[in-house]
Amino acid sequence: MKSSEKVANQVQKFTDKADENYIERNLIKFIQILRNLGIRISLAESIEALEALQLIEIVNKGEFKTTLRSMLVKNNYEKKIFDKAFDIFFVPQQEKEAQQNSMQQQAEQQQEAQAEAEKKISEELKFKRESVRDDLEDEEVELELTEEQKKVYTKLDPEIQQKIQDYIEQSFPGHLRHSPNTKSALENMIGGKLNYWQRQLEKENGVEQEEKSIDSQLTGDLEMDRVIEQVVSSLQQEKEELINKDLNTIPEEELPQVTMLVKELSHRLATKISRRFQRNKKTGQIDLRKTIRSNIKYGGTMFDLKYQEKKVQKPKFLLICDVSDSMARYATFVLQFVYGISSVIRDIESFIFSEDLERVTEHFTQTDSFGDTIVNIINSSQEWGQTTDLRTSLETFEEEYLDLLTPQTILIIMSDTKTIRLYDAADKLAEIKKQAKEVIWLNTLPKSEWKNLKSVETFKEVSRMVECYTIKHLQNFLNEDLF
Amino acid sequence: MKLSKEELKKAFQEEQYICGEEIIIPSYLALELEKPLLITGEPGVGKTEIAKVLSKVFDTELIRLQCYEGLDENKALYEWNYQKQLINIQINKDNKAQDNLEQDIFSEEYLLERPLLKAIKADKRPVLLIDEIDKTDEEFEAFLFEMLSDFQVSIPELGTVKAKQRPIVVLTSNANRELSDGLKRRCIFLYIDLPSIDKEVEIIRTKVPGIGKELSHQIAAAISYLRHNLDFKKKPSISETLDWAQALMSLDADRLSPELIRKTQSLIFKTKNDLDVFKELGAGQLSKEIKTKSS
Repeated sequence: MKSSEKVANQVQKFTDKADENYIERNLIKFIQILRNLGIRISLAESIEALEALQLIEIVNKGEFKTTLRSMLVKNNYEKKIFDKAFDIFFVPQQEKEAQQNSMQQQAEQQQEAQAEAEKKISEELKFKRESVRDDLEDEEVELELTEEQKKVYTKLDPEIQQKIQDYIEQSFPGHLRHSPNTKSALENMIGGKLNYWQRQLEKENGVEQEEKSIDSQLTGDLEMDRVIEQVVSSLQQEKEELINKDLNTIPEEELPQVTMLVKELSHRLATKISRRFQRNKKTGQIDLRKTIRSNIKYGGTMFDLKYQEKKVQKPKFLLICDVSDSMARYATFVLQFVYGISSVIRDIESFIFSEDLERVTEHFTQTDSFGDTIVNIINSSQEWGQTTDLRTSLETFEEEYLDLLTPQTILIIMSDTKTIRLYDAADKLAEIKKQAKEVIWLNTLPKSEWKNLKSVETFKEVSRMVECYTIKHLQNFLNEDLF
Repeated sequence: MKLSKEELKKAFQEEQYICGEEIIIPSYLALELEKPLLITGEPGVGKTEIAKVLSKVFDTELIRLQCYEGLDENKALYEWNYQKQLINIQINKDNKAQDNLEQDIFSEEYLLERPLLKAIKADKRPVLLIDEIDKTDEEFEAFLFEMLSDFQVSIPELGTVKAKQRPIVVLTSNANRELSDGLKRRCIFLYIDLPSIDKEVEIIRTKVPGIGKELSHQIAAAISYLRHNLDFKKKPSISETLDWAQALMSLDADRLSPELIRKTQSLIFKTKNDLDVFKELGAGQLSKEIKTKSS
């Protein structure tokens, strides 16, 4: 049967059944949920999953689950999402109804709360326009704010709300309140204040927002969205989604997972390097196989010699990582990165710096565990948690280690760019850059802060700057930016 | 030969592969739907073993393609025997009747079959094990999934060779890198997790005949404790459990003691670092933990 016919058949079957709980309808809903949770499932795979279900005892929940999992899931991460979504979606009808009812109630409660908040805002955010004539009553004018601004207002502490109300009260003396521009001027001023508070709130909740960036979308269907939201929140609760987290917020107990992730990434980098740099046309020894094949047309006489192509040298890496006070939050990540990369790429040189530079390559080439390596470095290092002086560090590098740089070396600096003697440091870096293939700067500051910082602008001129404060950033860097 | 799900489960048991529905069902679906089975999981959990068991169950040849970085079509599919071709050319150098020379040296006689071609040309449906697929290059992977969908290859000098019957294909991966969507889409996915204590006891008792109930339970409990409570570079897997059990059997042990654990610890830990991590806990402490668990 052609696949188009199969699809038509399946769709027909689906539409024929009016019953809400018909297995295929549920299955299609479930697949839609998985898709919205970021699992890529093609139409062909959905059909194959349906076919596979015909081969098993569908009433056996365990078998049903295992079958769907084998057909729809492609890796261990997806397996976790699948298992959670399955357990939430395929529940007995009674339980499902109870859940739906409670969701309905929640939605209603939210609506009520919102209406109440709106009412409160319209009562609080208004000003009194006194009447110029005694026979007329004073007029109360409501400020027109955007929905977003209203939301921010409701989230503020009562004290701040009171301050805003006082501000409205005191802003314009009596006679100015008659001006037709007063309303719009007040709206602008209050709007500005609320925008400020919005930014403050975002900053406070920054980590929380970062966590919510799991790759999911809502469908608009109440039942399906319930499952999606539960899966996402459950995954977040278990902190499985480490990848998007700011690395300074990752607690101690999750570090082994981070090490594994970084190691995996480093391994990917190592294989990528060797795959990318295959062969070029530089000649070497005669390639017997190719020569024979090419000379068969001359009756076997070795007329046209073919040579083996030499492999191009792999690029070398030299890491210089900032472990100064301002970077202390990221120190673990920095060293994880060096540790991970050192464990899969041989001949990688690594340095740490703050007031001066220190070579740490030897610590990473030993077979110690990550914990031991860190302890060794901290114990033997003078640089840990000092102020940053990149200029002095680079001078030391130039004097003692410049011969480590070759035209194949990619120099990677990991730092937040905050250093004393900024311009001197940038000049020195520009000089060193001439000896290397490229200078890449992994910046642990969020991109949104870059434009306000002179140091970022300065170093951007002498290096390629990449945002890097989560594993996701590191992954992007290794996958896209490095080559 | 077609097997029902129950028959397959029984056959796996007969071949001493202890597993639950979570392994049987994907294997059964792969056989029924004639799709490759992609197995992932920690090293040593028995991924490769499934292919071996399948070949025994179906009493057929196991053709193994071990993947590594740089593996190409020449080494995986076929290659011309250049040395033999060269000799032929040299022998016939002065022979005037050379018209058929080219046809001669590009005949099957000069073809070196590599695992994939061997699997395609096999008379009886073989089991093709493509081990550690994640170690190959993306290009080879792309070539492979094309081959896995059609089971035919074109050899320019000979023409197209089509499989008489689709081989049973088992791919294993240690998830060192993400496989391409195309390949994953063509496969049935199976993740093998480390077993529970009870399942591991069952595995030990099947694979190490004659081992005492108490000892096998203690071994499984100890291994489970180590996996879940200590931070090893390489967690002990089933193969280490079995090695350890066999070693303890050969030392005539009937229960675990700190002394015995110390003597045999090198069978569980494969790196100095892991051994150091274990030494920090100490054999005595492990022994205590097992006792607390069993009481």
